Amino acid sequence: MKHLSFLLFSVLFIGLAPRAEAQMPDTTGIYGERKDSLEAAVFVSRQAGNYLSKGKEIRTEVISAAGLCKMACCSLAESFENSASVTVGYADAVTGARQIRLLGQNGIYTQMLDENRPVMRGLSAPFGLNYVPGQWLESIQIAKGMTSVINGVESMTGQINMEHRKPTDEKPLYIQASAMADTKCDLNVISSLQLDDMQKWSTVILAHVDGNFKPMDGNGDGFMDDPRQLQFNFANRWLYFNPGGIQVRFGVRAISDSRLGGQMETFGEDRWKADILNRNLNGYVKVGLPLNEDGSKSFAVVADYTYQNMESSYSFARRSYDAGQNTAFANILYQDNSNEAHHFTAGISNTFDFYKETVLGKQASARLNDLGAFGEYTFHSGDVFSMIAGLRGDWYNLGGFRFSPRLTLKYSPDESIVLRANGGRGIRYSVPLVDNFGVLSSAKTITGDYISHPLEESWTFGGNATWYMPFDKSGKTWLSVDYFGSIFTNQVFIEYTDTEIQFSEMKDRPGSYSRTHNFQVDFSTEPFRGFTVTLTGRYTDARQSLACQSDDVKPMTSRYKGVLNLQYATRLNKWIFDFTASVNGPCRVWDFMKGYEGGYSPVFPLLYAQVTRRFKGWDIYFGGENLTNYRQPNPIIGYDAPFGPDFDASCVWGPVSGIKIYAGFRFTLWK
Amino acid sequence: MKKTFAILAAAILSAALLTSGKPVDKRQVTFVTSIECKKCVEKVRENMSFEKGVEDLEVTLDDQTVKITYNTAKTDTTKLGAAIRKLGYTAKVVKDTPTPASKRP
Repeated sequence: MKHLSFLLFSVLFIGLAPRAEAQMPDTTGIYGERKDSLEAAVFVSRQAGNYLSKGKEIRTEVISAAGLCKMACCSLAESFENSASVTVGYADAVTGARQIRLLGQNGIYTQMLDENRPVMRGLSAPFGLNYVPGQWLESIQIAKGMTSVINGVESMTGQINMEHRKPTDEKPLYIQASAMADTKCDLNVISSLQLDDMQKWSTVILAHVDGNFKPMDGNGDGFMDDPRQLQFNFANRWLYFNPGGIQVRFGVRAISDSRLGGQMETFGEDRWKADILNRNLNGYVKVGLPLNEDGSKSFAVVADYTYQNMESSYSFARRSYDAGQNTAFANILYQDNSNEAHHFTAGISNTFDFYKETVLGKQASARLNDLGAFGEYTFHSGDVFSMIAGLRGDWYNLGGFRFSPRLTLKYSPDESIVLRANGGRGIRYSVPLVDNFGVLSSAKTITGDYISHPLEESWTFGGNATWYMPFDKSGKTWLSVDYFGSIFTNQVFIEYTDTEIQFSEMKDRPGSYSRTHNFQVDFSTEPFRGFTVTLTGRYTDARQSLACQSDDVKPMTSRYKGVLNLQYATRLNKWIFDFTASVNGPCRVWDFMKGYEGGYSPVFPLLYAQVTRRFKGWDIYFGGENLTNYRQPNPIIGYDAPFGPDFDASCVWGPVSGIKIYAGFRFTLWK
Repeated sequence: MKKTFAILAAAILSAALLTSGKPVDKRQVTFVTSIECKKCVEKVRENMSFEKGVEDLEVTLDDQTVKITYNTAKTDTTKLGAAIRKLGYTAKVVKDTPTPASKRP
């Protein structure tokens, strides 16, 4: 019933939105054209899957539409399996919440953007990756290090921008459906419609349903590998484009997701359960107004509102977390690109979050505001050198004033070499319990201050060198090396002891530190037409001073990851074969976790394979995930006594589910 | 052992017979079109790849060309041009030559 009323409200809201917004004036290509999103398609007979953007000032890995079709990619989380930069894992072993890590830090320090609007913040973060269907996306850009100050400074390790399918796509109907052997199914229906011959008005409707109907217990611990789950997800995006001037984009989105994890249903009604209901509603408008004839000077306004509600109870509400979050974001900016060498952007933005939480029986509410002014200067000396210098001043109502400088340099002495360096400061409000959502599925006593919202602050520096090998004129053979390091000046620490999970703030612990060093090497080549080889290796050294551990190696952070991706496509892409193998390095486990040799998890491999057969308008695919059937042994500590004090499902470092075979199809109707 | 050799020999002979048939007559045609965006490139690529007789395809936005290698027994430039026009773009043949492979004796 909750699902029904929520969706009814959403449909009404969506139905009204176009009429209300039709009266709005219009704008430009807000924040400029994102040339990279389809860079690989300019000259093609086939499209690269993952590639490093050559033109971007910041080291940016692009997962293209072709890359998003390499795997089942039911959700955004699975889209990163080909990437060594991003490590994907589970927040815990019962709820199915996915989390990423970039530069050895939790995904909360990576700013998520939906076409340059900040998304997946606060309450939306723990399940956010599950709520972006991979098939809705056109491309993903992963930028490492310090990015632009235009969207705030919450990007502390990097930024991930998602480009959705566009209203201007000449695809009135796209349908994708897939089913996994474990009864997990998903269905996407997308329709892009141009409403007039001049293409002034266009819209895209995106609908998604997925569910897991018959939970499995592959490792025999009595707990479901993935929760029983049902998600409805609907979005409608509009574009008004006046060739002579104004451009307006606006849209709405509604999500409802219920999931029930825990012990298998055969344990009866008194079993251990994790029951979670998430609802999300979002509306946004982006207006771009050119101020001169060629559009080189422009004014843009972005406004966004999100309501997120989460109701969760673990094991008959012995532990529960219910919360609502209202977020309003506005950004007003002026851009001047009239001089080829010197570009300027300046503006102000405000982000307001209102949280109302019932945490473990305690009521709490918080109003978090961040009002900021920013300026960014970009200098280009042809294609050889560019520099972006950004400065932002933010007033945080719970933290005072902060300056955040950021600098990016790119030097390309010739066609084959690109050198990049960047650095700067990142700041965000913490939401301690939500940022560490997995702790709710532990029986340990949660102590310390997990209610307040201190500012977390860090400095990140790094660089990248990419060499496009001259013997391959197509530019498809390249080697990239990069290093990024981050140092936190304040962070919320979380520590596991035998009986407690303690929250504390770094600044209250004199002498404490948190830092990471990350090295990565990427190599890609096409030895013969249609066959692509990509090899990536990442090494992370993450340190954190924790009293509960016998050393300072940051727990639950994998030391290294290696990924090999092979793709072969026959001429005209009628058959496509994909194979991905990864080696996942050990991670330091918490000292309380017994049975680990030397305190580290074992190294484990993961294999993925997929075969796609393409016809006119149709793709049929068949594949498998985790083909080595590797599972973390006993991901749930104390599974045999779920109501006992030792129960803990929050310490996950490896796959919870075993091998998964899937099949699906994609249908495209072209205009 | 003799049986294995016999099967192997038969397989090689069959493969040789199959591949020694009359060589396919292929030509390469270049159309100048009205494609002007990356989306158009995708649309042409995704549709023309599956036209009957198309053996290879290259779509270039810079000079707005669509280069198609085709099997003359299955299609011709008129049909290919019509297929591009059906997608909403103009298509004019600027070059139509035998492919290097089909020139060989």
